[in-house]
Amino acid sequence: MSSTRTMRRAEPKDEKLELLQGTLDMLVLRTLLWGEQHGHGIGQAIRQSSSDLLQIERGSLYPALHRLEGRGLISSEWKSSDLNRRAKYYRLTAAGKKQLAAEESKWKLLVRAIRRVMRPAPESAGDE
Amino acid sequence: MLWPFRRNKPSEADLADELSHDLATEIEERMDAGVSRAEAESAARRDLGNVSRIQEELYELHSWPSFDRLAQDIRYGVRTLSGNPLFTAMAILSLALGIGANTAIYSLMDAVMIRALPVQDPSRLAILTWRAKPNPAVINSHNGSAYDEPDGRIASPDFPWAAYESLAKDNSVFSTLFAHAAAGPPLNIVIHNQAQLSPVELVSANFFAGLGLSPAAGRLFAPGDDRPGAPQIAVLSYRYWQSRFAGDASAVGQTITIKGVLFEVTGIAPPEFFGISPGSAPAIYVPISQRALLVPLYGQDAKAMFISPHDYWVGVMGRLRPGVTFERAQTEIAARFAQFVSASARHAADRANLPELRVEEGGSGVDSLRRRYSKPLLVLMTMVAFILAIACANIANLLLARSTSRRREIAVRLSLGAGRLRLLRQLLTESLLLALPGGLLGLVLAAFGIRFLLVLLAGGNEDFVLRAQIDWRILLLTLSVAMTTGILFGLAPSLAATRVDIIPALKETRASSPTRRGRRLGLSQLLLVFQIALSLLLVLGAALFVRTLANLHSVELGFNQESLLTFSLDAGQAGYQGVALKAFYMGMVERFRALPGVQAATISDLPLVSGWTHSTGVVIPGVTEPPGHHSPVAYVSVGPGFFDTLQLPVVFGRPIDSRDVAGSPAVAVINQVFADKYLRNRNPLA
Repeated sequence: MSSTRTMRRAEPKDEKLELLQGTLDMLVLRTLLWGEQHGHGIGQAIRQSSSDLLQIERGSLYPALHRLEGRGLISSEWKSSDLNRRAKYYRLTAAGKKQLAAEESKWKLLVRAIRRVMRPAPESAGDE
Repeated sequence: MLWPFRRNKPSEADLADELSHDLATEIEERMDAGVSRAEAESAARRDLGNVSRIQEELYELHSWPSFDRLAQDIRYGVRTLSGNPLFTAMAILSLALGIGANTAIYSLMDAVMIRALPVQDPSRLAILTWRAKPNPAVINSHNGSAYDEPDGRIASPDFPWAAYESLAKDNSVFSTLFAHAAAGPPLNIVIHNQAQLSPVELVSANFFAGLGLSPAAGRLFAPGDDRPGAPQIAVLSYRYWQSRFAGDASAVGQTITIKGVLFEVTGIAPPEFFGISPGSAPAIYVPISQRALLVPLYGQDAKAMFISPHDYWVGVMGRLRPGVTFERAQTEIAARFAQFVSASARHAADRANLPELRVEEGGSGVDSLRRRYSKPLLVLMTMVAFILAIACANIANLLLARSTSRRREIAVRLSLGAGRLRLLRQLLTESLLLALPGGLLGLVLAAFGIRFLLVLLAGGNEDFVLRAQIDWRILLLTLSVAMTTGILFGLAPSLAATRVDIIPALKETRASSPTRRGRRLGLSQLLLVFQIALSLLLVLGAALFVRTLANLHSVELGFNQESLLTFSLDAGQAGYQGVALKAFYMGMVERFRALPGVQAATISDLPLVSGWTHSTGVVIPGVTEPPGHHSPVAYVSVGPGFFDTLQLPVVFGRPIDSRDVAGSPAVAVINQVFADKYLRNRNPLA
């Protein structure tokens, strides 16, 4: 079951999207699929791969990371980063991988369902 | 893999490191993009947002609530509890009963049975008693208390003064051996021209020193104060000083009148010292050598009381020398007392039943109260322990029943995203919300309970003073027992409830909720059975107890208690003597008889059912007793009309009446037991 914590509303900037409830965890897990990464890197990765449409607030990201770690879906370790600075690196656990797969398929189902509902209404049936 | 099991909470420093790394990386990235350092820094900071907010959020994820969370819990708890007033009232009431009753009883138990005297090093105090078969021949008169031992012997803490003196001399086991004796019933004490009856205690000069007490004002007794012919001085108890002198330091040196005799106040006993016997508190202490001035002698020689080895009247306590055990004291002192009583035997046959000395621990004081009340108090204690158990079972059952009905609510809250910990916290808060008012109410009940029990124990005795206060340790203990139950039974089912499958629980309507599920039913049924069993036991016990109590208050005394009024006064203490005294009493009786509505009036020299009796040896012509064996016979001197007033039937002969005045032949009325025992079938009137 995914977390039901609500995301904090971002500043109503142009072109920035609000995340759907529960999707942040999935995005984090997905990002970590490519390998271990620290908090900042995860945020950047999500931003970049969404072409700057999704910007994750630290206030949501770090609690999410700790929560996921608490549930055993990711693990962490302090390491030196490329710039020789100490950083906390997160890595996907086996349970996390399984969880990611489950959420992904649920997500696909949801997207398909929403797309069906939202397809353009037939012209003839429209009233004013 | 180890990781999934790692659930240690991150330290704040850990998170701070993580965030500062984030910030630094961000700044670098922005500077790489060509922004100035200052600008990059401020942008990065803005981007990061409120760090403490993030920390807070994480903190809450892992730890206990902050205070406003608690306030929220409390508000919610109060709302749910007040939404269910019957449950709440029941729970609080049973808690209060359990806590209150237990605290009251155990506090009293402590005062009567356990608590040490408020003196220096009470564990080194010893009290001397003796044991013998009833009516030892070496005892002519016994003024004090005696009680039956389970083995048929009697025990008493009273000794002849001569024995005390001989034991106190060259004593290798006691550093001090001191003596005390009540001066009988309360004496008439005049202070500032106001008379009041108060108990007086006669003590040896080393009494206060032996107990290790220091005065609140003035001086306590010093060696020599109990020499014959020493000045007439008195020490007041702190309480008496407060009540009669309002704690005025000038009381020391003033003169007070005890039974018409002047005494100078030399000092005030310390405030915590209430006497050496729980349940009685002397107002005034007087050197024991003044006994003859205060205690009616009933024909005994005043000096003889301090010499005769046959008159038992002083209580003896001692303080063990350092390093001396009670066993050693017992061996040495018992041997010396055995010598003393053996020497006091007048006939060889007297030696068949000699008092044997025993050294007992005296740290709790003279234990007449303990003896009298330890059994009823134990019974009471067991009963209230049951009450507490029932209260706990009650709470448990109530909470159990409620948690079943709250399954749905819990499921809703779970589905709305409430953490399990959060829910447990809520339930815990509710348990505590029940315990708190329950405990407070229990405290009030305990305070009243103690007062009620004291009145019960005192049984109308005005001089009964027992220092019993609410014992906070006991209150804390009972409270925590009750609370633990509340928490256990409040949480256990709730814990199970938080593990429910949300969906079916959500779907269930109030009617269809699975209250009939196996395990929970088992627990609540078990509790129910337990409760019923305990309640039954308690009801039986209570019934017996009430019956005993009722019996005590309506003992068959042999005379008609209906519309009977008794009181006592002592005109002798006010200075009436000889003929004037007799005239006063007779005139008083006449005036009472003249009152409208009074059927009959009479006098006797001892109040009825007071616990006091005179006794004397009786010689009956024609009945010879074996030498060394004499049976004391209790008697009371009465005025004319005594038998009419009490409506005591005289089965044979005539009652004492107006014919029996001074100078007329001495007469007596004997009871049936006396007649059967001594006169056998002879005509008693002959």
